[in-house]
Formats: sequence, C-alpha cells, structure tokens
Amino acid sequence: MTKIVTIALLSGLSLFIIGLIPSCKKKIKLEDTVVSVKEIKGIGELISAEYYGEVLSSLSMIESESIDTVLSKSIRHLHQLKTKVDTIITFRVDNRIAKVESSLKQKPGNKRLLKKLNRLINRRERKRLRYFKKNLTGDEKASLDFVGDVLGEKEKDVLKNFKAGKTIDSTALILYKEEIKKFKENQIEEDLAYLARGTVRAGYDLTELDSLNIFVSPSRDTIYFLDLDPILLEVSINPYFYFECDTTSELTDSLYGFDLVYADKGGNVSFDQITQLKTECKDKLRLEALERDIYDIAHDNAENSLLGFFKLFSLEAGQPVNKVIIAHSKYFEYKADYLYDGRIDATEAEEIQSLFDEDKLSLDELAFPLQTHDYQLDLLHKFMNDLHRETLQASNSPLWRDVWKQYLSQSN
Amino acid sequence: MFRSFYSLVFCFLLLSGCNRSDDRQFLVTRIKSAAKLATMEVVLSKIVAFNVSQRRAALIFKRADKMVAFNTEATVKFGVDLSKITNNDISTNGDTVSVKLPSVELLSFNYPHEKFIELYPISDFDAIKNDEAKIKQLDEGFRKAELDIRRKIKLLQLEEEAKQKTSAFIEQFLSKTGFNHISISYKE
Repeated sequence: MTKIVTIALLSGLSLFIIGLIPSCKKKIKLEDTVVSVKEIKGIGELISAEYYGEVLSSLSMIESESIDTVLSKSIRHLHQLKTKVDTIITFRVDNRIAKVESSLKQKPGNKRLLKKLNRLINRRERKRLRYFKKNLTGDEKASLDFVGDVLGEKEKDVLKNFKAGKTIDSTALILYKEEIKKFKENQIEEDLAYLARGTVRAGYDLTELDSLNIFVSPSRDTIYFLDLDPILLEVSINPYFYFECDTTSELTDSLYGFDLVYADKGGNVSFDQITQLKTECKDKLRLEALERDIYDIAHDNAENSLLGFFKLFSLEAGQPVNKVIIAHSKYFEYKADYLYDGRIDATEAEEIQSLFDEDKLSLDELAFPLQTHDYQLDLLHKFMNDLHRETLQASNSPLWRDVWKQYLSQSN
Repeated sequence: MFRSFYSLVFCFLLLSGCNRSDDRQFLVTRIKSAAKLATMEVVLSKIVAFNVSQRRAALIFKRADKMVAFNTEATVKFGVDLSKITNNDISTNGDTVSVKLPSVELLSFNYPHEKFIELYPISDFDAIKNDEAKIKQLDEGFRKAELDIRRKIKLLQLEEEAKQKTSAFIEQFLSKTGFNHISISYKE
C-alpha cells in the first residue's frame, strides 16, 4: 500500500512539474483550413539586391522614441517663440542697456554696473513678454497650446512660466526634465521585445518602361534605360526566416522570423501592441537596408544582370550589346538624400513642397529634354508616393505630413 | 527503496522527454546580389485557427484552452532567375529570337503580420492571460500556418500560369529593344 501511494505521489509530482515547465507544452495544432487564391496579377520586377538583416525592438523603445519626438517638438516650438520674443524692440530699455554696456567697457567688472545691466535685461524680458502676450498670432497660440498640453497647463500659465530674467531656453530645460521624470514614473510595465530577422529586396519595376525610357545607341552596342529609379520591392519578416524562398521542409535548425526575447509572465499585452511592435521591427529593418546602400547595390547589379541578358543577343549580326546604362530620374537624387536617415525633416519638407509646386506647373527641360510634361508629372507622383511609403512615418516632421495632405487633396 | 529509486528514474525520463527550448541563433547580416525577374504575383488567403492554452499553477490539472482565429494573407512572386540563362539557351536568326528560359520558381514569399486580422468575437486573444506563454503559442501557430501555406502552394499548380505571364512579359520587354519575333520555351 505504501509503495502504491509513493508511486502515485511521485507520478503526481512529475505531472505537476511537467505542467510548470514551459518547454513541456502542449503542441499547437492548427485547424485544417484551405489556402485559397485571392488574386493573380502579372508584374515585371527585376530583383537585383537582397538584404538579410536582424533587428531588435521593444515596446519600451517605441515609447521612449515617441517621448523624444514630443520633447523635440516642444523645444522647437519654444525656440520659435524665443526668436519672436527676441525680435521685439523696446527702444527705451534697449538704449539704456546699450549705455550701460558701453560704460562697462570702460570700467570692466564694475559690480554696480553689472547689477544695473542685469536689472535692465530682466526689465526688457518682462516688457517683451508683455508685448508678446498682447500680440499673439494664431500660430503662436497653437505653439503655446502644444507646449501647454505637454506640461499639462493652459496657454496663459505657460507664459507665466517664462519667468522674469529667465530665457525660454531655461523653460525648455524645465520642460525636458519634467518629461523625463514623467517617463520614469510611467515607465511601461508590460514590456515586450522581439528579435526579428527578415529580408529587404530592392530592384526595378520594368512594367512602366516604354519608348520614352529605352534608347539604343546608334552603334547599337549600348542600351540606355532612362528615368528608371530603384525601389524597395519588398520588406518581409515572416514567422520563419529562410535564406532561400522555396523551402517547404520544417528544418530543425530553421530560424524564427520573429523571435520573442522578453515578455512579462503576468502581463496582458494586446494583439494590437504586438502588431505595433512587429511593424516597428520592419521599419528598422528597412532603415538598415537603406543605410547599407541597398539602392546603389541594386543599381549596379541590375546593370550587370541586364547586360548579361542582352549580351546573349545580337542586335545586329556580330554586334552584341556591350553596355547597359540605367540612369536615374532627377527625383531619385532627392529621394536618396532624404531617405538617408529614414525621415523627412522640416527643411527637407520645404524643399519637397517647392520642388513639387515648380514641377507641377512647368516641364524641367534640362532633366527631361525629350519627354513631355505629363511624363514628368508621372515621375513626380511616383516620387511623392515613394517618399510616403519608404519613410518611418512616426519620425517625419509634421511639416511633411502637411505637405503630404496637401498633395493628396490636389491629386484628388 | 529500489522501487522509489526506479520511480525517480521514471520521473527523470519523463521530464527529459520534453522538448527543450531552442537555443537562439544569430544571423550574419549581409547584402546579396540577385538577378531575378518576377513576373507573377499571387495573393493567397488562409484562416488560421488553433487553441491557446492558459497555464495556471493553481489549476495545474485543468487547462483552459481558448480558440483564436485570424484571417491571414500571403503574397508570393514567381519568375525566373536570369543568371541561369546561358549562351546555349539563346539563338537568333535575323530579328527572330528563340529563348529557352529556366523553369519558373518561387522567388519571394511574404506573410506579413499586418494582414493578420483577428476574427472577433469568435476569437479574443486579448482576453487570454499570461503574456509569455500566449505570445509564444501565437507565434508558433503562425509559423505552422506559414509551413502549411508553403506546402499547399505546390498543390495550386500555378507554374503554367506563371510561365504564360513570364512569356508575355519577356516578349513585350524584348520587343521594346527591337526584337519582334520571339519564341519562348522552358527548360524541364
């Protein structure tokens, strides 16, 4: 009897331990469902470069990046306001300050003069702020509202915080310190981190080529493809990661595409948060590929592959093709520049706006000597869409978002 | 005493039969040149449904399984690898060109997580507790779904259609560079 009880207890203990050990889990069994074809379409994409990469991201990293964006934006607003305030002229006080400064040059280090100078500077700041408060424009009100939202204060209270004698820089510093404090207090409790492995494929879409893009040299040994820009054809992070596409076996040493590094055991992360984190991983992978000059590699490889393809042909008997040249459109140089850091800042957004406004109205004959204005417009639209698709949306300047909205409304 | 010892050995064997979690492997990142021409894109859809078990220490002998279900889509591209075309595969006679292309193959497989749409209210993933366990099971479910789709692609017999689309594209592309009479065949 004792033996039976002992064996029963030991078996029960084993099952208990099995239940606790995460690796001894029930295997996932999928319901058997069909795979159906939703759509088939013809394409013509030349894949000339593939980047295999690995990135790490977590929910707390996304949170801290968004706090950084808010902080940078707030500080930018404050600096704009500072510039405005500094340009306000207060004649009488400015004259008195100029006189005291000139006296200080003759009596450097004079304590009485230094105290007087400080008092006058404080008075000037107060006058400027008073004038500024009375004459706020709509944009300035909006800036103060924004800063107020971040600080949790109303617009008039934000101005009160520009204390006499203190510059707006100091307020920006106070703001920054308060946000860091808030971030630490509200630090994300349910964190989730993934190590993601994926592929970025770059190349050319050859379907839009026509007689305006393809030229053969008079000697018929060189083929030119004009205004053909490389694009990121695909950024993919699948559940499994394979180097070769056509793999159906469940390899024992296969790599996971999304490899969970950390998750709170007792947490309750939502499916939307998991999706958000996976999207962030994809954006990082895209940026890594761009940093490794995937466009340049795609361009060089495409020229070589097309040369290899055409070399096999003779355009005339005994006159094989010796060279293939792919020339980018004028917009590609801008795109490569803007996408270098994966985001469009305010200066770049302004450049894009003026480029768009100019090229929408008239043909750039230097860049497109043989083509029509409609041809230029097609490339321009493609350029705008590529910028929208290939940048990290959350990091772009708000000015770019305005430019994009305006572009969409004009296109419709 | 010996029987207790054998029982302990039995327990040990039982525990060691469990799968160990995989050691994490690291990828050497690299850029690779390619010369692939993709001529057909296919969008596939599949409903992925499986049970996620909630493990509670207090209810160790009672597993609460919850069904989760998602509508998913995969995009695959077929085409040819241009680097496999050799001198022997092409012959010309005036402006007539005969090309023997390599067989069409699967060039890319993309199963994007953004297209995983939960079928609420049949499925309520957020209601399941215990993050680490449920997320691991979720990812495992999608991995199995990927393998299933990859296996079933062959059954869809898309090669013929891919060949037609490839031939159409190559004819059009070559005609733009001055070749008007093109005959395309495929290697076995």
